This record gives sequence, C-alpha cells and structure tokens, in this order.
Amino acid sequence: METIKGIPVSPGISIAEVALLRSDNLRIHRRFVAPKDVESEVRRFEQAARKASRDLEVQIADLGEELMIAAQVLQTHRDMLNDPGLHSDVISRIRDNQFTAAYASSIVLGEYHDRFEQMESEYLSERSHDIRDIERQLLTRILGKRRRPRVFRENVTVVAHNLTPSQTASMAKEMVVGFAVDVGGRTSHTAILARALQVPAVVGLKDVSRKVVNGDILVIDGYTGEVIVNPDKKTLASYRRKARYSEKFYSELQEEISWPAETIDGHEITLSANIELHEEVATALEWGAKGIGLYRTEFLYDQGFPDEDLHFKAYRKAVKALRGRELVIRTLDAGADKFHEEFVGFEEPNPFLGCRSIRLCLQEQGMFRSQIRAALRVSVFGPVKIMLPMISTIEELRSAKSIIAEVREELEAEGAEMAPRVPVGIMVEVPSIALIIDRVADEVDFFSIGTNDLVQYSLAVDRVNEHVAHLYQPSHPGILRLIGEVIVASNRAGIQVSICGEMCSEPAYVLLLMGLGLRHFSLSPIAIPTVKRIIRQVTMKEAVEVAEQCLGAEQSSESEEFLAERTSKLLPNFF
Amino acid sequence: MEVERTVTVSNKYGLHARASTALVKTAAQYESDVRLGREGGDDFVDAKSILGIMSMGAECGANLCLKAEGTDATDALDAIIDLFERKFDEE
Repeated sequence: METIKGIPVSPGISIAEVALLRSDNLRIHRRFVAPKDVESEVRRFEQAARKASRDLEVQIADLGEELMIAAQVLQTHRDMLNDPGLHSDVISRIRDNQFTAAYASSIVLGEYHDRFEQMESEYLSERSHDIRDIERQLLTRILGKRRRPRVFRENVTVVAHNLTPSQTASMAKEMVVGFAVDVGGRTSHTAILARALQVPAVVGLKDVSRKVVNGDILVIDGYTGEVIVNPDKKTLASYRRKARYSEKFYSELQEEISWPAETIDGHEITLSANIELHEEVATALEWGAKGIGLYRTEFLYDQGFPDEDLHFKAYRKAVKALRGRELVIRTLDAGADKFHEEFVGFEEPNPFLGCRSIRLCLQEQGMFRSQIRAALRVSVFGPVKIMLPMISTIEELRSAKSIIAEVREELEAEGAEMAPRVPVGIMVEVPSIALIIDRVADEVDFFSIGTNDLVQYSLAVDRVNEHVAHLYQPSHPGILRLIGEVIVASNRAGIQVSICGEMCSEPAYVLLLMGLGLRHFSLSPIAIPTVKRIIRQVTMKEAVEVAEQCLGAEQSSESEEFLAERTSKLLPNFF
Repeated sequence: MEVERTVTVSNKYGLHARASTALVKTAAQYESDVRLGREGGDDFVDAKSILGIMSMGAECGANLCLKAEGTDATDALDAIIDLFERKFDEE
C-alpha cells in the first residue's frame, strides 16, 4: 500500500483497476528534402493538416451534445490545425530550410509550445499541452501512422504521465471511473473533462504512472487529492464506506456552500482551509473557505532546498487565486518524518523531539531567509501572514522575529515592494509555550492552535503507534484546559486565535471547540461544508454547555461518548 | 482602406480558447487583413490566427489596438468590436 498526494480536481471516490496509458513518443529527426521535392513536401504537409482536421471532425460528431466540453476542446484543436499563421510558418520552413514536413512542423509547434508553457497564466501555460497534442496528431498523419483508440471493457482508472486533450476526449464515452495523472493542474483538460463527466480525478501526482502497473487496485480520493495504490483491507473498507456516504451527502451539501457559518443565535465562525499546494486554493474556495488559514510549505522542499524564486512563484499564485482573502504561510515544518535525514544530514534518534521545524530553520538560516523573503515579497499582492511552527521558547520566537525584521530591511534597501505590515504569529503546539501563553501574547500578532502536535506532545503519545493510539485523546480535559488558556490569553491581548489541527475537521469536536471560545477554524477544504452544517444547527449557549461538561469530565471517554451522541443527532447521515 | 480602433477585453476569462475561436471565426468572414496587439505595443498578431491570439495572453481588462486593411475594413472592425462588447456571449 502506498499513498501519493496530488491535486484534487474533480470530487468523488473511485476504486478500480489501473489501466496504464503510455504516450506514444514520436521522435522526429532533422531531415532535409531535395530542392526539387520542396513543393511536394509542402503539399504533404497541407494534406496531413487537412486529414488531421477531418479526424477531429469525426471525433467531434461522435461526442454529441452531452459532452460539449470535450467537443469544444477538439474544435479548438481543429482551429489550431487550420491556423493560417501555423501553415505559413511551416511552409516557409520547408521552402527556406528544405526541412521535411515532419521536421518543420515539429520545430514550429515546438516554438509555440515553449511560448505557451512560459506564460504566466496557469490556464494559458496548460495550453502548451494542446500544442503537443496537435503536433502529435499532425505528425501521425504526416508519417502515415493511424492511431488506434483504446477500448476498455470494464471499469478502469486511467493512469498516465500526461493525458493529451484528445486522449481524454476520446475516453469520454469509455468505462473510465477515475483519472490519476502525473502532471497538470486544475485547468488541464483532464480536470475539466473529469468534472464534466463527474468522475473523480487527481492530477499533479508527479510519478504515479511509474509506480503502478496494469491491474493494480487504485483508490482515488477526489476530495483530498490522495491516491492509494493497492490499499490494504482496512483502508479499502473505509474508502468503500466513504464512497457510499459521500455521494449522497456531498450532493446535498453543494447547495449549502454559499451559506454563512453562523449559529442560530447569530455567532459567526470563520472557516478557512488548510492546503499543501497552491493549486488547492481553488478547491478550498469551491468548498466555501473564507481564506487559507494554513498553507503547509513542505511540498516545495521535495526536490531539495527550494530557492526564493520557487517559493515566491508558488505563494504569488496562491495569493492571486485568493483575490483579497487571507493567506497564512507556515514556514518549513519538516522533521520528524521522511524529510528528516536529508535535511539535517544526520540520523535523529528521536525525530519528534529532534532538530525539526523552526529549530532547523534557525540553524539553516540561509534557507529560512529565502522563504521569509518570498513571503514578504508576495504581501504586495494580497493579505499575507507568516506563521512559525513548533515554537517552544520565547527566545526562538525572538530569534525568528529578528531574522524577519532583518530580511524586511534588506528588501527595503533593495527597493522591493511589500505590504507595510505582515503579521507574524505562532503555532501553539508545544505544551511549554501553551503554559506561558500570556507572556507570549504580547509578542505576536496571532495564535493558531495545532492540535495534532499539541495532543501528541502533551499526552506523550505517538498517534501512529497502534499500541498507544487509544491514548491519543483530543478531548482529554488537560488538552481542553490548555486550549482554554490560549483563548483567554489571546482575548486579553486582543489578538486572533484560531485552530488548525485535524481536531476541528472532526464533526464531534466542533461544538466543544466553539464552546471553548474558538471563532476561527482552519480545516481541510472538504470538511468545511460538514462543519458548517453543524454550526448552523446549534446555538452558542448549547456549545458553551457542551464545553463545560467536557471540561468537567474526569476522563475523555465520558466526553467522547457524549459528543458522539450529540453529533449523530446533528448529522444523522454521517455516522 | 486602413482603419484603427481600440477595445478593452471585458469578458471574464480574457482571450482564452473559446473567445479566441469566436474572434477567428468573425475575422475570417472578412477579406481585410485584421491584426491586433496590446495598445502602445509593437507586436501585432493576425486576427485569423488562433495560436497568435492566444499567445498574446490578453486577460480581462487588457487594452487592445485593432488594425484592419482592405475593402471591408470598417465592417470587419465593427463586427469584432461588437463581439468584444458582447463579452463573446459569455453570459
């Protein structure tokens, strides 16, 4: 079993066998024709373009009304193949350079491809795939090779490095129940078509096509962007359940997405989203997020230390996609897992308590500064906040803040544009900082409670360790007291406090957290509608009563039972 | 006859595939040579070339200059500007 994370572009869950699609790589060599053959080579190009265009006409006619989107893609391709500019460019290459029709076409289309690929807009840069696609169609006709479309006889999940638009369109009527693709973004044809067909799809998976073989079982979670290769029995069962209830539940929730997250007695809770990739901003907004409360930046580090430019480009895309809504960028939180050895360069005997996260950043200051520079620079495009993870002492906070101040001065000296103020806050996830939170409150602009680590560190429980997993109890009265302290301190200091751990995505804890006084939740995009549905059915008075009851409980099992019962009444379809 | 006019891209998605297709279709109905480019810029593309138009990357709000040369130049530009003003019929 292996889980790969990508960009969810079409919601739904699918479980099916893999059909791996390999792209036919046409290699075109630099070849010349004799001067006397130039004109017949020109005709050869023109005939091939006409035939390729006719192939598309046939495909368009086959698609019919209900697959308009696929038809529109193919119509654009046909117009591109008939483009007079393209024709005159190719023909002049044949005439002036005596290139073969195939070589001239691939040179000219290669130039178009590169021009599109470099374009700033995600949509237009995705169109470079269309150019590759028409190049392939043109070349198969020039070289006289006909394509045989693949026919699937049973439900399959199509896996490919990159599906060309015409491949995707030709699969529109096939028995494809899901798509998993190495490359691409939200505006790729795979994404657009999958949404039109209402088939789950995840793109940007990097190397899924090299990790699976035909016949593997693949789970595609089009809500979270997770793809699971050969799931074990337990995982498979849980996805079967999720698939069953999500279909019904989410189609109902669709209508409620634009409704405010407000209690019956008029208290509004701000629901923001946690994301890992800038491409997820669009998904988050679709599910009704008010902003991004946690942008995990670790993904940018998966090919080694990213430079400032890589950070900058990703952040700028996120900020622009948010159109004025807030983006909270969390600085590198690596350690404790796969990244570790590569980053620190030594083996960690106890990674969770080792040189991770802000500790690593304060040691590798060059790396930290690049990230801060990028975060400050994007503040000119929209509201941005910087969030420091794993702070356990005031000294760490001060060191990080002084680096941020230095970086700002440096940027000012360079004449870079920035917002006049970029708020800096911390994640509250180490108990030592939660216990002195009143002293920290004066030195930060906001708090975000990271319950995953706060619970783990407070209860000394590794939640992935199955032998102690039962001791991982987010509703432990000790945890609730810590959360309560953080809320009191931030209210006194007049700063914002939010929660961004998985705890606030869990329906059972929503009432409790509201009752403790939290008004800002940041959660996985897909959980937003469910949580909102709970909020809209309760009063703040009820929430406070729930919180008091849990705070008074001797052990969390009492609270858990009580919370589950409360929640099942609010979300009868959920359990 | 040579005519020159300016227009602002006001449809939501700018000159993306669909709008560009419509533009090419309209321009192709006229004999005149129609070219467009960003206002104040030097690079002009053939309005009958979808690849040329899309590679301009003209987003919503971009100001464009249209030039037509030929017997039906005025009609061609009227039709094209009408298309921009109708926001390419994107609702």
